Amino acid sequence: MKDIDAVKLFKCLGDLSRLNIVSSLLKEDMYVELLAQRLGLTSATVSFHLKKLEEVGAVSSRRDQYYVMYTLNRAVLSKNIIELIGEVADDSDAQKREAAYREKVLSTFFVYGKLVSIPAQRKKKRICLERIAQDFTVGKTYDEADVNEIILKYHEDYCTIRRDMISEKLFIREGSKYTRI
Amino acid sequence: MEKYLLYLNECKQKHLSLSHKLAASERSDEAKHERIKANIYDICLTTFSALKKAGRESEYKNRLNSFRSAWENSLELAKAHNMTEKAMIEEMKLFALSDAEKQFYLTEEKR
Repeated sequence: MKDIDAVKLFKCLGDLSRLNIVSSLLKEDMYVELLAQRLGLTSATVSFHLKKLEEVGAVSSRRDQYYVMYTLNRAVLSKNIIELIGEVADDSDAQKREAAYREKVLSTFFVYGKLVSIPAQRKKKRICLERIAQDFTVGKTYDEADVNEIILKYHEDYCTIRRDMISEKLFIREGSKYTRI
Repeated sequence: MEKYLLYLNECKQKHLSLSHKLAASERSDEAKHERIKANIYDICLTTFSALKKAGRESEYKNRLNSFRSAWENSLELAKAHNMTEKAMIEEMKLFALSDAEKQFYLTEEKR
């Protein structure tokens, strides 16, 4: 559930009074005055805490005749901590970090358009192979000689690069035919 | 008016003490609210003490009125902008101020 802000939820629940409110609501839906009575707090204080809980999506409210009843959002609170922590990292931040990493690898290993060395580390090698693979049309089948010619523009060891592209599933090979996938 | 100063100081200490207890039991928002109340009593205490020292006790009522006016304005603004927490804090301040004011008038009557 991407719309839960895990940090805000944890901060909100890091208060004994709010935990007591959540605990009370686990048993049944309640209105402010009843919660205040049960927990020995003023109605104003309970309202304050309920608003905080509503802001993070832990509770919701509905009008029921004369009262506003508060209910736990069990879908939010049923998530385990590991699931919530897994959603903490912002996707867009992760994408930016990934893009920056790719740029760094490419600028390190490609000099004047040529691959200076084949990276030993698999992740870096894959990034470099993907860059070379951009010169091939996806779905098109090439003769081995054509594949070699294109790879040679980047690095003399076309055999290793060709073989690595297959093992990285950038190409499939059928005999001497190579299809970019 | 020594009794009045004593009252203000007792209220201040009571709310400060409660604030510490609440903070220790992981009730930090309520601890903050008690500190706010303690601060109001402290403001009244400091203001009255300073005016008494300068022989200008008669100005105290006007000072209380100006505090009230400022906080009532803040309360109205907070309500108008749907800032419930800020509104709640202004209400707390006004409540503590009312109590300090009431006690002042009670003490004055007994003089």
